[in-house]
Amino acid sequence: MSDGISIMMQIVAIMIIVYMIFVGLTYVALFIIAGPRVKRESKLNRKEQIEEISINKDTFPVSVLVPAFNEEVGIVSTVRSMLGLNYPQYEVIVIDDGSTDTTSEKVISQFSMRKIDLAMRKYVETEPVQSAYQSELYPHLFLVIKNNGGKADALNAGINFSRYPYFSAVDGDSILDRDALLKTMKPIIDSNGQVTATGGTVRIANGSTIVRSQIEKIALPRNPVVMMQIIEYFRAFLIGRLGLSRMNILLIISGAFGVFEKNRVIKVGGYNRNTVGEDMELIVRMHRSIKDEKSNQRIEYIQDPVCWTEAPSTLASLRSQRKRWQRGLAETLWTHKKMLFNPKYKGIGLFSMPYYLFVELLSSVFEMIGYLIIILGLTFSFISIEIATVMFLVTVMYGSLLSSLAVLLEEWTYHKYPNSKSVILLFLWALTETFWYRPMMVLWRCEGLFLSLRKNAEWGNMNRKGISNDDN
Amino acid sequence: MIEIALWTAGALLFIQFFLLVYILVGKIKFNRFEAKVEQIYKNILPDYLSFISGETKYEPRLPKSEKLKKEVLERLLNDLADNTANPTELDQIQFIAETHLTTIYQKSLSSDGWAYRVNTLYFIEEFKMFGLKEDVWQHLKTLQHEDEEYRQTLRVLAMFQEDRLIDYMIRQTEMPLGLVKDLFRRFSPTSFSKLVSLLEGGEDSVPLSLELAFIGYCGESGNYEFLSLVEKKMEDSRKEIRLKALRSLCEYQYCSDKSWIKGFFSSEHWEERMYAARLAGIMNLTEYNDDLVFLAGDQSWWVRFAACEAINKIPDGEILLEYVSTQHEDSYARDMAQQTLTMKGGL
Repeated sequence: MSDGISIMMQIVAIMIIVYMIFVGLTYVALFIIAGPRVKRESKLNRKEQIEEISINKDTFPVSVLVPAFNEEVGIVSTVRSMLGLNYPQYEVIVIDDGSTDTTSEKVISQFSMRKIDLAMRKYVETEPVQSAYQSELYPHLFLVIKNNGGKADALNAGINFSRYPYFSAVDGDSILDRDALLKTMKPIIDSNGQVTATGGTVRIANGSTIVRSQIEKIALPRNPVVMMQIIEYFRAFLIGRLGLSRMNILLIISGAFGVFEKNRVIKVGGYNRNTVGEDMELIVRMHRSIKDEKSNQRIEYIQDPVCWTEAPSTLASLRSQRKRWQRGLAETLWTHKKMLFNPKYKGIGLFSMPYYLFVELLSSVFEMIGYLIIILGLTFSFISIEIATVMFLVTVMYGSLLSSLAVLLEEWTYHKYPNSKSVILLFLWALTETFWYRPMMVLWRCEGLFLSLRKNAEWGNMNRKGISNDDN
Repeated sequence: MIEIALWTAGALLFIQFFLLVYILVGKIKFNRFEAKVEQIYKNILPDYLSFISGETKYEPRLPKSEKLKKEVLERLLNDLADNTANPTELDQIQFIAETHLTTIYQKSLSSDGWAYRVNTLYFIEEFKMFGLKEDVWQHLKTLQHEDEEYRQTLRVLAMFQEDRLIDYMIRQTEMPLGLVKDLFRRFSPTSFSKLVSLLEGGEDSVPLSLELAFIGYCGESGNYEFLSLVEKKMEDSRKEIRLKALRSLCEYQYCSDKSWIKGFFSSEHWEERMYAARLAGIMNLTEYNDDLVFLAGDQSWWVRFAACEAINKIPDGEILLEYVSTQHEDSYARDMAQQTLTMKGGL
């Protein structure tokens, strides 16, 4: 009996090893795809590149949507960051999704907002809008107060209110680079509208100095939990998203910052209010509509770090965030399961969806089994120490090598961290990932998977501290 | 098996170590180079300011290293060019750039580094290095992709007023509208007139994007020489041409025959009704008050928006809007009028 269990365990263990190697190789393949593009553009003069469109009358106007729910801590600095954007024509619309704190009051008092009457359009159904305000100091700043309906609902209300052909969705806790809109709109302008949505790299602001809602000095945080998230973001954005974008099969534009063609979003019905992964779900639906129409439009990702966000600094808030992300991913894949392995959707159906299913979603389950096998197998002598060692080594190397490659790409792109010490720290922390950070992630992501069986859209609760020095 | 795994792990660890060293060496080298450039820039700036403004005749000494010289000069001349409108100083910047950077840029244009070539093209335009006209034209012929390098090459050639570019543009059927307008903005009146004569001569063979860009640019630049041409386009059978002409007239803020606008108020296309309303407002055409009030209750939100904005612009428009907001039979018109009264600024 125990021999049978042992053999079974050995087989499962080998399967996990093969799976881990496969996932590792997938990431390496994405690095090989993303790397040349990053390297090619690494020395490009970014200032000169956007100079033309910053003064061009043909630069499409953009509505910046800032959905907010109980964001009293960071909303003022976020709005200030939006008002400081370098872009020829844009409007900023803060959508208060029925906050129970002083989010609206802060915006109204800080920016001298005056009530306006609305002739609202309803491109997309939303919870009722209660009132709207316009700033007397900045006529292109608006506040829309509505009944609570979730982030997707708030964004839909923003789409209904907005006046321009493109909109940008920005999280209420994010800070944008001054040239963020110019950089993100550039692919849309250059392609004459062939690019229907773009996203840029989101970076973690914890540890950096922010003055007057702009990043002034970039530095690493002391908190190891945040440090690991920085490495994770590098990996996700510079390897994963850039690689997938190169093949036009990118399925996520971060909810923290992205730019979208309004017509296309309205055509697909706006944001889905019944999922917590509304950002990914929208992109999948847009891809689906593009493919159904046999259109040549594409969704692009730019490598420029354009958006800075506050990462969760406590384990509790990180856990809540990751459960939410995992749940969103599961819901999106479930909603669009017909696209999976469907040749009609080409790269999306044949590569991207399976990638998100097997690599991003189910990896936590596989890894969890791996950890259990190592612990239980060694405790009860079900597996040999050899197999356990191999599994452990593969796991360590898998994580840390990819992290190192991501740090390399960061250096090739913007080498934002000014000193060598930062690079060494990032490398050393990357090596520790498998011993503490990864097991936690695996556990929380598995929890998120189970949660996806229960449905109701809600805002994530992060207990923000605020990242700007001038928040209060 | 464990031996293979250990060897693999060791190899991967070595790769990581190698990567770390590679990144560190690169970072240290980069930081040192940056510090050196910054130092030289700071030292040389006052002397160069005097040289460019003509206070001294002698050009300050530049670093011997070609790489350093290029970097320092690019920063220096770029900053100076951005901060002066004095023609003599701009000529001097051009002279310095052509003296020191021509050979370097000729080499850069044929280099393997895509980013280097694009940066070079940016600076050739910034410093107006007319001496490189032929090199840039030849460079255009080598380009395979329509990316930033292609677009910037065309922009540089337009800035050079390169004659062959106009013929090249006429032959391109798929050139993006925005890019064509970028090029128009760089054309001198002579080059632009040459292009217009070609457009007039062969209307059937002219690419649509070129025609649209021409109409749009005329309004944007407010060039009254071509107003009648734009007005003629309002009668075109193609909707997109008519729309572009109406939009262009909004930018001109003028239309020689006001009666043309009237016909568009009842157009079957909402975009035409919207532009007609906007133009009536811009031109303060009180004779169309009734039409605007009617359009305030249009089925399209955008037409209602433009109509109320237009009413707001005309003399006593606010009183009329108050009337619309309370008395108009259409509730959408009343809402829009109310919004216009309380909201500042249009599109």
